[in-house]
Formats: sequence, C-alpha cells, structure tokens
Amino acid sequence: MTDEDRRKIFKDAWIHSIKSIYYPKYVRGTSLAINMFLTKVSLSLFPENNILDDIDQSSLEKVSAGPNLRAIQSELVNSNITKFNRFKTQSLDELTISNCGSMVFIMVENPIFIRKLGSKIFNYLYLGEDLLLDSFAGGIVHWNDWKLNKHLNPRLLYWTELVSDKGNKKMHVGDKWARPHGQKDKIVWDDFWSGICH
Amino acid sequence: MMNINDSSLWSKLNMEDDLDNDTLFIELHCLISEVLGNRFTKDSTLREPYLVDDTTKEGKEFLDKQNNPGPNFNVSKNSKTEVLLSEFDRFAIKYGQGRFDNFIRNFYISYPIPEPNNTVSEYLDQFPVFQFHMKLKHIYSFLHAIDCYFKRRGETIE
Repeated sequence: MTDEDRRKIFKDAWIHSIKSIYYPKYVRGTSLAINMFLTKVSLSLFPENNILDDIDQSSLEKVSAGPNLRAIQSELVNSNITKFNRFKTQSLDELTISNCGSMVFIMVENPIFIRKLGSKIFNYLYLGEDLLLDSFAGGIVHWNDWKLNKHLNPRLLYWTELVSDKGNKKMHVGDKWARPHGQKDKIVWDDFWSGICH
Repeated sequence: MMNINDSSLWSKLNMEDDLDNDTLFIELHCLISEVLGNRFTKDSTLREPYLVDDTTKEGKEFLDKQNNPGPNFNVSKNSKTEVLLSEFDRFAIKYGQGRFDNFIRNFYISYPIPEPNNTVSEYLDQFPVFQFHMKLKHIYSFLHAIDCYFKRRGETIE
C-alpha cells in the first residue's frame, strides 16, 4: 500500500465521519464520527463480505450523550464482542504501533464539576505515539498535555482491540464478518495504520 | 490555537499534496472544533455549567466566576466568529478566493432545513443557545460564520 493509498482511505473516512456531524439524523444525539470513520476505513480495506456495510448505526446516534453512554460501554465490555483492555499505567506506551486505530477511553472525574454524572467519559482514536483523534474527528489531542489538566483530572480508562483472533467472538452472518477478522485481515489493517502512525 | 495542518498527522498523510474540496472541508471542520474548544489540553476547563454542583463552595465560586467574568472578558461568541473569519481569509488565499467562496456558499445554500423554516437562520434561531448540543454548535458556528463572511463584504446569500 502506498502513502497515497493511505491518504485517500484516511481522507475518505475522515470526510465520511465529518458529514455525520453536519448532516446528522439525530442532531441532539451522540456523535458517531469515530464509528463512521472506522466503518469507512474497514469498508475501504475490506469491501467484500463485510457486515459493517449492513449495519445502521443511527440507533446509536439516537442515544443522547450522557449517562446512557456509560450503560452502552458497560454492555460492550460485558459482551466480549470487542476486547477491552484496562490501562495498567497512565501511559499510552501500553499501546504499540499495531494498536493504532484502536479506541481509547478517557474518564474525567471531579465530584464538584460533574455533579450529575460523577464522571464523564470521552472516546478517542489512537493515532500512535502520544496522539489521539477526538470524538468529533476535529482535533488532535496530545495525551501528555491533556493529562496535566488539574481541573478535570483525566485518566486513561481502557482501550479496545479492533483486530481479534478467530477464537474471539465477532459479529457475523454466514460468511459476512465485521472486518478486520483473522490474520490475513490483520496484516492489511496493520499495514494501513503503520504507514500513518510511524 | 492549533491548526490541524500543523499536526504531525497532517504531514504524515501529506495532506498538503491534495488540496481539494474535501481537504478544505476537513480544515474548516477542525478549525470550528478548535474554536469551540473541543480539543482538550492541560488548560481546558469545563464548558457545561449545568453540570457543576452549585451546592458546594467551590462549585458556587466557579459558577460565579463564569457568570461574572469581569470587565476584561471578551464576548466569546463575537471573538470566536472573528477568529473563524480571520481563518476563512487564510483559507481563501490557500485554496483560491473563488473556490473557497463557492464551497462555503454552496454549503450554506444547500444545507437541508426542515419545513416550515424559510431560511437557515430561522431554523437555527429556534434553538435556545445554552441548550445547544455540540453537533448543533458546530453547525451553527459554521453557518453563522459563513453568513458573517459574506455580509462583511455587503453580500447576502439567502
């Protein structure tokens, strides 16, 4: 894969995710930018037998941001569909270059400033090294800077592994899978991200 | 303020080699996101006063400071729009005046609005400003800045 191929795929996915913000089905609902981004990358890299093409994500958007998100995340953790890894240290060094394109969840906790929720969770896309793409796909966050915020006390919560072994549960209908799935897909996925996150 | 084209991601993707309308839209979106304060840094503060516990001393002090920022406080809506317009001027040079104007004009004119609203402004005005969802903030900020951009030149686009 050439750098130009990577740029085209990344850019198409970026535009797709941005349009989900400016042309939403539910304007007061949750931002689907990162979901749309990853879906588009997946469909560009694996256009065939990919179940992501059939999934209507608008039901996720309909859920307003807030406490409901925590319930959804809890269900995802318990469902085993996606592998969640809790951070052992407060460092993105726990992720390697092959974890680029994973989602990273950051919790901010301050009982005074977040009265109704007790905590607030932000999701990001890991771009390698210290970099995270925010949930509106509009800003690059440097964790080593963000973590110094004394007002909101952010801390790394967990990160997801998008690429699973065949032994793991994964969504599929017959031969249509949520791709990347399996080692061949993993090689393609890693090749795409390694050229961006190096 | 950080421009997306100063980020290492931008250079790794060689985005400057492909300055088409999609790249322009990405830059505009990242600009709006940055101006709205979406990108967290060590200096970011909470921007949702309704979440603050006003039954505590610290919470009350925080809200009081938010509500009474003092005489040197800039009206954020105007200053944010000024930043957006200044950056619009930069994009107009970078992408070409005619191309930039056409892109944002077409975005504004073709923006879908539900009936019975006659104009984008009428549609957006029905939402209370302080109950804006972040997506609405993006949409409003972009459309409002486009409106101001053309009005500044004495042009009307609707």
